[in-house]
Amino acid sequence: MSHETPEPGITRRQSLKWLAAVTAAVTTPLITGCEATVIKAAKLAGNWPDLQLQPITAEGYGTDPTLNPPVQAPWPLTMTPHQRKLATAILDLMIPREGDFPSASEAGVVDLVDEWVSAPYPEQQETRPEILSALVWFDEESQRRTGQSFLATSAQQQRAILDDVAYEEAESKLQYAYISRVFDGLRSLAAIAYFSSPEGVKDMGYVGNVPIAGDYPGPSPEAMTHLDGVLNDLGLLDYAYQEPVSG
Amino acid sequence: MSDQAYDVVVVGSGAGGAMAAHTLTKLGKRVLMLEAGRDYDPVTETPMFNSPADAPLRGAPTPDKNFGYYDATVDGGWEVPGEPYTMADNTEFKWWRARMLGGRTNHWGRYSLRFSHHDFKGFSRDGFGADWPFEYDELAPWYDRTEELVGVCGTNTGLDDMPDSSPDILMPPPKPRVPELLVAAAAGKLGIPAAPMHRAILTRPKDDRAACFWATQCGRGCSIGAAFQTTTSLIPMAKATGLLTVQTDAMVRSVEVDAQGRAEAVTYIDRKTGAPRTVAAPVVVLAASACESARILLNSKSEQHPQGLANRSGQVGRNLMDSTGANMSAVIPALKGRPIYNEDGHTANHLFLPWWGHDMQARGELDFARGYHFEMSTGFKPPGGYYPEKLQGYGVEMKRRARFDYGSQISLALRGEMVPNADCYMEIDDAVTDRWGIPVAKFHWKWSEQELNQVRHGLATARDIFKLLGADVPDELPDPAEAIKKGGEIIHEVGTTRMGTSPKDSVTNQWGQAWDCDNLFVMDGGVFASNPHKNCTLTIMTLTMRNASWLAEQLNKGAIA
Repeated sequence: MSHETPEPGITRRQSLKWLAAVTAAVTTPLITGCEATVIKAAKLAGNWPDLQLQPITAEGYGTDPTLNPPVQAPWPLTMTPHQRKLATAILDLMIPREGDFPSASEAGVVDLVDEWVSAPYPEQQETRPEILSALVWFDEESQRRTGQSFLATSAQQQRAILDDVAYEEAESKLQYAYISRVFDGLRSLAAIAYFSSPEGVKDMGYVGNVPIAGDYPGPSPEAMTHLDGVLNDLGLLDYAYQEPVSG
Repeated sequence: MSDQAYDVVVVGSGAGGAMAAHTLTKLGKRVLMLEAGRDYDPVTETPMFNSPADAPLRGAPTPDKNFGYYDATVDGGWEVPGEPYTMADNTEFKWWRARMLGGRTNHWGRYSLRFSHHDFKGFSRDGFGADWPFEYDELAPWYDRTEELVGVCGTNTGLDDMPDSSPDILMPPPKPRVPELLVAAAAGKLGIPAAPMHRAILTRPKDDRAACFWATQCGRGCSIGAAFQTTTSLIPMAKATGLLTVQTDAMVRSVEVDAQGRAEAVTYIDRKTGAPRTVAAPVVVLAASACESARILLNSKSEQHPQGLANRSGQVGRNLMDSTGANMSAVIPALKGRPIYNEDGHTANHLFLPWWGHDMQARGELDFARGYHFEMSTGFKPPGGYYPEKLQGYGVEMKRRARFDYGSQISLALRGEMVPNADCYMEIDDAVTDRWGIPVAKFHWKWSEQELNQVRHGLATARDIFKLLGADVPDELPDPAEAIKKGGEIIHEVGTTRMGTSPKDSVTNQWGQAWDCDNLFVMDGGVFASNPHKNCTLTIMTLTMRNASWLAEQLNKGAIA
C-alpha cells in the first residue's frame, strides 16, 4: 500500500510520543546527566509514588477478531473503585460538561482509561504504572497542600493543583517535571477518547463518514474563499493548482 | 484427484494470483488456486461505518492488529503467529503478510501509477541494477486492459513520469481538497507539479461493484467493491467461469519435480489438520508474494535443482528491494480555524507530487540515481488522534484549542525507488522452521548512499514546501539514515526472482517463465527487474495479465506439455 496511513484514532506514533515525553525530562535545562539520573531526580523532587505493579496477564483479542461488529475488549478491567473515582474527578476537570456536550466521564473516557491500563499489550503495559501513579500523586499532593484527599478538597484547590501541572512551563520546574509529562499523556488519551466518542465527534465539528451519492462535492464555497485568502497572504496565488487538460 | 484435474496450479490469491486465475480461466484453462490463509468474505466481514469508539482501545494499533483494530488484515501484519522469519546481524527488515483470501489486496492503498519508459531502462541510464526485458510500449496496451478491468480513477496529465492511459480508460478523479491545493501551490512555486493520484477506486459503477460513496477508510476493505480487492472482483469473476477451484488454508511448502527437473506437483500443508498434501500440477504459477515465492523455490531442492528450483543463476532471493520511505509533518498556521466541510473524499490522496527530476538527473545535478514522489496525509479526518500541537491546560480552553488546531497538519510522505545492492537479499534459515515445519526466510538489509542521498533531497524539498506555507520548521534537516523507513516497511518488496534476458543473471524470462523449468512461472513482484517509486500492485497485475495470456497461448499450442 501505501500503507503509510494507519487508521485514525490513537496512533502508535502518538503513544510512542507519550512514552518519549515521559522520559524527555532529560531535555529540561535544569540538570544535566544521563537520562536515568535526571528521571530519578525529577521523581524524587516531585514525590513521585512510582507504583510497582504486577504485569497484566490477560489475553488480547487475537489476530483474527470479528471486525463487524467489533468485539468488546476481552480483558477484565482492573482499576479499583477509588482509582475510578479519582480518575473521574481529574478527567472531568480536563473535559467538563460544556452546554449540550458531555463531560469526559459521561462520554466514556474513564471506561477507556480503565480499558487502556488493563490491556495486556506492551504499550499499554508501559503507560499503566504512569497513569496509576499519577492518580496517587494527585491524592498525595492534595494531602500535602490541604491535609485532605483530592476528592475531599475544594474545587478551587483541585484546580490549583492542575494549574501547576497542566502547562508547558511546568516541565521546567523540577518538582513538576515528571507529573506534567504524565499529565500531558493522560490529557492526550482523554482528548482522543472524548473526541472519538459519538458526542465528541459532533463537538469537534467533523461532518464526514456519511455516504454521498454521485461525485465527491469537494470543498465548500466558504472553504475555497478561505483558501484563496491564504494563498494570497502567502504569495502563492499565481501558483494556484490548475487541473490538467484531460487526454 | 486425477493428474488431469487442472491445467494450472496457482499459488496465491492476491494481485498476481487472482489476476493469473482470472486471465487463465477466461481463456478456458482449469485452475486450482492455493491460498495459505483462511477464506474471507468482504461483504459480511468489512467494518464499513463502525466507529473507533466501538472498538477495543478506540481501534489503536496493537501487536495483534498492527494497523489498528479495523484494518482488514487477518492473522498477519509484521508477524504471523507461528510463522517467524529471521534477520542477519545488523539487519532490520519488516515483512508484512496476510493470511486470508485476497492477501494484501484487501487493505492496500490502491495507488495505481503506471511505470514509465524511464522506469524500464534505469540500468541503461545510470548503470544500477538491471533493465527490464522490454520497453514501456510493450506493456502500455496491457496497462489499458488492466486499468479497465480493475477500475482506476485519475486523469491523464501528459507528465513524463505519468504515461497517459488510452482515452476513456480512467474514471474521473475526485476534486482536490484544501490542504492538497495549498501544497500544490507551494510545490508549483518550486517548479514541482501536482497531479491527481491514480487509485484503484471506482468513481462509476462497474460490473457488480458500486461506485465510491466517499466514506470509511479503504484499509478496512470495501464491502461495496468500490475499492479494488481481488475478493470482490477477480476471484468471484474467475469462479463464475466454472473453471476455478479455490483451496484456502493451503500453505505451500515446495514444488516437486520429475526426473527431467520439470514441475509435476505442489506440496502444501493443510493448515486445519497440519497434514501435508500433494497435488499434481501440469503447470505451476507462483504468486505468493516476492519473498514467499522465493522461499518456496529455495525450499524446493532436488537432485535436478540442488540450489533450489529455478536457481541455477543463484539469483533467487537476491535483488530484494522495497520502496524508500520518509515522512515529514508540519502544522500550517493558516489552516487553523478554517471552515469545516466533509474532507473525506476517497480517504487517500486526491493530489500528489509526481517525480519531477528526470531532467535534473540527466544533467547530472542530483547525487542519486532514481526518483521519488510525495504523497500527502492531511485533512479533517475522523477525530481521535489529531492534535497537531501539544495541548495546553485543561477544561473548555483546552478543548477550544483542540478544535482550533483540527485539520491544520500536513504530512508529506516520500516514496522513492531504491537500487538493488548486494547487501539486500533473502535466503533460507537452515536452523529455523515455522509451525508447519517449513524452513523460514532470513533477511539481509542495508540501504546504500543512493537511497540516503535521495531521502536527504526529499527532506530538503519538504522543508522548502512547508516554509512557503508559513510553517515553523527548522532549517537543519534530520539525518537521512534516521529518517528513512526500515527495509520492508513500505511493503513494496520485489525483485527476488527477477526477469531478464539471460539465464545467467535472471530467474525468469520476460514472460515470468523460469529459465530452468519451462512449466514453472512466477507472477508476483518477485519478477520486477527494478522497483520504480510508484507502487508495485498495478504493474504486478498488468504483467500477470500479459504473461498469463502468453501462458494460455503456449498451452493451446502445446508448447508447454
